[in-house]
Amino acid sequence: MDINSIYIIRRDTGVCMYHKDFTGSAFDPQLLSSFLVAMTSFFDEATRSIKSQARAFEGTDYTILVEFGEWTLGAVSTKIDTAHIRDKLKRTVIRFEEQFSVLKWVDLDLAVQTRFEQTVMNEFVREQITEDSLITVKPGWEHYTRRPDVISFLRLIPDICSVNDASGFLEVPVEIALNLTAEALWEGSISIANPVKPDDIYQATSLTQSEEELHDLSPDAIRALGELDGETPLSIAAERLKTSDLKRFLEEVAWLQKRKMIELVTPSQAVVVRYSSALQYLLNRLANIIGINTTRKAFFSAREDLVDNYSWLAFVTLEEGVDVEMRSSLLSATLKGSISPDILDDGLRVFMQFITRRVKDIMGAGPVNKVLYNTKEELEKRFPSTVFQIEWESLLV
Amino acid sequence: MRRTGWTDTILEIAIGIVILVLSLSLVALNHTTLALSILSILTPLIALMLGVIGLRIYVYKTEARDDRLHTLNLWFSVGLIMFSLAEIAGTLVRLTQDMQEMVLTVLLIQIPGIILWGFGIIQYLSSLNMAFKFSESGRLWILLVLISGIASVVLIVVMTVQYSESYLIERIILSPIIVGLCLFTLITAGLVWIFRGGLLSRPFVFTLFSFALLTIKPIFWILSNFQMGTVFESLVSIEIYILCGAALILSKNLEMLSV
Repeated sequence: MDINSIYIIRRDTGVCMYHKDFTGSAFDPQLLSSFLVAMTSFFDEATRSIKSQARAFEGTDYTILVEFGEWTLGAVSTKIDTAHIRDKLKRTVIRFEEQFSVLKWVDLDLAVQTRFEQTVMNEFVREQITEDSLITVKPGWEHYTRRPDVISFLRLIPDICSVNDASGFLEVPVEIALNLTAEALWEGSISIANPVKPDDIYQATSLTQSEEELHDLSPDAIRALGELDGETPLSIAAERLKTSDLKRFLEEVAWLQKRKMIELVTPSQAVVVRYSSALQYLLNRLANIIGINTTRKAFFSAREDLVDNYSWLAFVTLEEGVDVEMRSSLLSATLKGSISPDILDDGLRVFMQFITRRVKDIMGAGPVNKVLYNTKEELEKRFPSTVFQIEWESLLV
Repeated sequence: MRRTGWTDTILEIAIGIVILVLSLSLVALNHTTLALSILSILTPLIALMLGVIGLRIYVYKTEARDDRLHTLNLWFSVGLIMFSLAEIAGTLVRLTQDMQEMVLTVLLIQIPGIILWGFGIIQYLSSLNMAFKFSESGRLWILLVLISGIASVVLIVVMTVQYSESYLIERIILSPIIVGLCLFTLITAGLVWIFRGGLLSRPFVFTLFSFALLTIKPIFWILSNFQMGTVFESLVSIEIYILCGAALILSKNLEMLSV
């Protein structure tokens, strides 16, 4: 997990109102909250700014991100500072202020710790669990699991199984199994491992590996290392390497990941790669039908209309013909995580919508929808499980 | 969205109608020879002119080499020029040679134009197939070749059995041409149907009429026992070229369209 702990602190008193530690360390939350409030007030005073400037406090291998609400501030101790985590923190802070607004005026015991659990769980825990996630039940879980539904859940499933299997054992919908898994993870009674999927996008952590590092790698793994450039899903990398056994290839990748030679790209980067493939397939098909010139025109006029609302779309452009190019400014923003995946997803979806609406006038609705359907089919081969994260229904005309 | 510019197309269609009306009135007033001589000059001239206009529009954009709609129009323009040559050659041959040889020559010189048009439309169909995935690309070609092959053989058999021995070779040559033209007409009708909701159907409507008239021409030859150089035939030819030119110009407007 990227997040070590989360704190919600009252700004004027510096009292920690809610905290959750995911690492199991016994650090006093009040100590940290006093420090944070002191530091942010110090920044206020030192810079004489009306709005506080402090956004993060950095250590060697962790960063404490700070987001301000109206009367509270949220802090998250994490490994990396990304817009994605900031968005989550911001939402959590807003949610907290809404739910416990009365605490702004009076100090009451509202059982914040238990009542706010669900929000934090939804925001930070639930998203790590997918249907394919592997659940490993920790030994001795009975001693520290309190929730009755989690206890009955863990009693029924085997020690190691996927969420899908668990929902099969319990004969409940997958959604419920996902929620129960999130609760169990929250309680610390299980650990979660997400298996490597064909549509995951990995990048090499270092471009120059030392001889010893490469020494005990299999030839396949060394070749795989060269293909994982942060833009290619594993399915395509496997295809390029002419791998016949995809399962073995995925195991190699998992092994490389364990040795920290490769890492998953940021969620923003994944969104950009997925959408740029979708856009490319769509434009190729449209160019086949209405010609390259008209397709280019539809692309650029759609972009022009949207660039006021989504300024970063200016970095999505066409090279010769209808070859989609994401400019490096956008790519580096996604690599750094300084643009959140939700914004990218929203902007690129609207962009594709605008393009399809425009070509509808030329081709008619039926052919455009057929082209969209075929584009989805083709993309599904490359991104079997994440293709549906693009809202295809909203693109139909 | 800006509307497609209709002015050029309307002008062209108007010219087509004027020519039609004028020649019909000349024939009605018993000036058939005059009508024929005017038409035999006008027909190649119009085909050549529209072909050159088409080439001027479509040949310059070399970057659009992979653009199939663009290539379709390019093939049509080259085809028009071919047809103009065919018309000129036809007129010259008519003046100098006897009937039997003339029919054969006129038939043969029509073929390059038809092949170019057909090539354009088939290429566009295969490009559409890539986008729409009607069927496997290979299977589509096999199907097309198979259908036209069988239909041609059937038609040849019918021709040989049905008609007397006169112009047998001409009929045998004409059979695959008619089958091919019917196929192209059907494909174009399909394209009009597919794009019926959009602007793209408009140029295809003109192409469809153009192909339909082009199909009528050889059928008329067979039915009229190869009466060549009639006013009807010249009129049909000129209208074919005008319709094709209209399609080319409409397509250009589509490319210029600010979507």
